[in-house]
Amino acid sequence: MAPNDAVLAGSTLPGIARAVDRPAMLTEAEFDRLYRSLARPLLRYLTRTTGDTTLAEDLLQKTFIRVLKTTLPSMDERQMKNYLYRIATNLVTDHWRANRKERFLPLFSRNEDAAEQGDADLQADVRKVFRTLKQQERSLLWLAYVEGCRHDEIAEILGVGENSVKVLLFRARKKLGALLREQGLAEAMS
Amino acid sequence: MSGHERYEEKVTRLTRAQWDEDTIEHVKGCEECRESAAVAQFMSRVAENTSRAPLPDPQILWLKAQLLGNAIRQQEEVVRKTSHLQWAIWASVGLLWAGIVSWKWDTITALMVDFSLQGFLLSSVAGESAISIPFVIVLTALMGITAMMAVHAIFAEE
Repeated sequence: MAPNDAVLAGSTLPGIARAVDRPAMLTEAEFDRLYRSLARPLLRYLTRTTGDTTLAEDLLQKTFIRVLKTTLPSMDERQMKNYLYRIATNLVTDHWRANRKERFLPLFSRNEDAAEQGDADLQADVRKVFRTLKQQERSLLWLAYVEGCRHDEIAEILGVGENSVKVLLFRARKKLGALLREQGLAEAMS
Repeated sequence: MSGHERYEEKVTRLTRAQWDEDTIEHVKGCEECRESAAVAQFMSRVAENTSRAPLPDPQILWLKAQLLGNAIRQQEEVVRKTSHLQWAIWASVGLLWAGIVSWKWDTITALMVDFSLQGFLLSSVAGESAISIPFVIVLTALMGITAMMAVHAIFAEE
């Protein structure tokens, strides 16, 4: 059995690379499996939190390259996913820090809209409202409602305390709820 | 029975199963839950229609990572060698200072107590001085090198 085959065995989620049983770097086959299972959802997350498909693709590549350069500690599939999302989130934060003026996304992002031409007006309004939120709020809501992450997982990904997640998520939900009412979208969503 | 008819009842049942009458009644009267439901619905809309552009090729990413890894290793090697060289230069300069100070200690202390450029030049020309002009040049050069290294170390730290 090859050195890393042992860690691949017992993987419960098909496609997700492995639960490493000791610190090690990913082999090409493991990386390929990890990438095929997580690249698409991670790209969706990055696209929505950055509002820019080109930037999202760039950050996706950086995330996986960073993983490839790292000797990974022992972790299961869920932890591996959270680890990837944490790297991606940190890269997004670093990007906003380097370009402070872009912290709030433009209401109309040509780059993203071009990829989704032909969407209904409602979909355009939805994206517009989502872009008015702060980066952390977008990440929080995405992880909680789209990825279905638990509070402790969100805390791990965003690098904040679990209690802070509860408070921040509550505030983000309130803010979004108010925005939906303000924009007249609340009824359309119920 | 066509395909959709066969599944229609099942789909309706499954959809309704998520919203039982009790929950529907509660949500109608609870503002918080209405808001939660609206936000959840909104987020599912946000998740719709994200770009379906092809993902970057994993093999290219793998190669990129390998190339980057090699570049980093080479960079680390250069940094390691430079660091060794720096320590060697510091050690040499230190030894030179120690040698000069111990060799010409009496003269240096005498110079520090009573030094005049005119007197030093006259005695050197007459060949009566304990330290020669070339020695002073070496001493000045060594002081220059020491100062340069100190400045370099300060900037490198910053």
